[in-house]
Amino acid sequence: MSAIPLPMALVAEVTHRCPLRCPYCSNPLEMARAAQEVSTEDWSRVFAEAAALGVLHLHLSGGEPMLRTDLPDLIRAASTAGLYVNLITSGVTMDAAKLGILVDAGLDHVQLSFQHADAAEAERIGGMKGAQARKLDAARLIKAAGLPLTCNFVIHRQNLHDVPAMMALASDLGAQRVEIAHTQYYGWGLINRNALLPDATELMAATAAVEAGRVLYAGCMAIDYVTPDYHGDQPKSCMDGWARRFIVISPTGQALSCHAAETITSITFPNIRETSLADIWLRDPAFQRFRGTDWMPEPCQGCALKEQDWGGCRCQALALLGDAAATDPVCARSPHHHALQGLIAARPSVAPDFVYRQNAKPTSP
Amino acid sequence: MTIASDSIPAFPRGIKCRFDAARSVWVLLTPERAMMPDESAQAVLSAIDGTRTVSGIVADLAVRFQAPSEVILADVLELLTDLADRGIVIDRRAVP
Repeated sequence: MSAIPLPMALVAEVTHRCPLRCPYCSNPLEMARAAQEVSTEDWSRVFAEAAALGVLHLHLSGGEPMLRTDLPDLIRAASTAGLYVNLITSGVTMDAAKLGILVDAGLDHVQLSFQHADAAEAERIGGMKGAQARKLDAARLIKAAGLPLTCNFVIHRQNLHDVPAMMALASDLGAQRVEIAHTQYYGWGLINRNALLPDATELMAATAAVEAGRVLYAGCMAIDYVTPDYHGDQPKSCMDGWARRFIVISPTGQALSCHAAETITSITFPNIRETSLADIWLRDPAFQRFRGTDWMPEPCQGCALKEQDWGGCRCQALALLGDAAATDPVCARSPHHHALQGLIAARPSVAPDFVYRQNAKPTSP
Repeated sequence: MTIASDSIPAFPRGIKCRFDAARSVWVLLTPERAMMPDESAQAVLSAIDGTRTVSGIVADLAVRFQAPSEVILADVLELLTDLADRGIVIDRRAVP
């Protein structure tokens, strides 16, 4: 086994609480309540441990991280430790005073999520009335504070025809970067797959729109495009390899290799309340389980691309085949690859109603 | 953006440059990327503190590397102009 690479980024899901109810939310179906969340002190210790271990970027995520009243303290602790602090937020609870406090605490960058460019559609998808106007205000406040801004759009069969309008909105808001990301089918996204999954024609149109946008906004705004699950013949390099660059920590302190890793119930993940981050990264069996290439079955083991895609996605192999160690079925070399084409073909022609995520109460239980 | 010898280079909000003890290198952090500059670039970037001029930084490097300052100045201007074009370095002198 080759040397263990140093981690580059920590994703801290500081809460599952959120005013929005997006039907593709990456949070698990069973969400943590406020009383179960990791304390300010434990997060601060973990940020210092992360920086010492080699982590460079911290992504404060959720749920909605701005619902943590100690967010300024968390940002200050991370910034003091030397981490680059990125806030991933819906923006719906932001105001000038709150943002000013976060900036003073050391916030470096904001990623603002949008559900659509069109307000009515955005609020239908996100399940929150009045959200769009608040997001637009948040974007203006972020720019006024002199912070770099990235706008995120999650796309799916119900909004991907409007990719040009999304890029135009991000450009109007002064974003230096826009992320157009196809939905991933885990948790809520898996439940809502038939309402979200595009077919090949829809996908090609969205991809063409992104390509046109890259020409139109060249030199002014960078466009990141996250291609969709299921389509294609080569699996994504999920998280850039299992426990190779990223550590995700859940609101209750579970240290994970990715957002959805807890769906692999055969693995027991460690908790940062009990184990140091260095021990977790370097020695914990959960982090070793699919690290590198030693674990790979054939045809992965003999594949020339095994250090490009690192075997694709373990959660996807589990969700689709019931075996987290199987070859990712998105790969054309998987014996189950054809099943995915069937799955896309079997999609109902009219999108069914969304099943909205059920939020834990926004205040303490 | 043109960087000149009397420019005062600085990192704008959203860009961080620090020594990473775990890797023993200076790292340049942008919203989505972590860059690990080569040794000569590290020497320049680690000297940027938002108060020193390019010529001040070059004078120090000339002593440290025992090289003619006009040669170092040309290299430093090339590096900083490239970074300024990418929004990674600003000229504080030019900021009102």
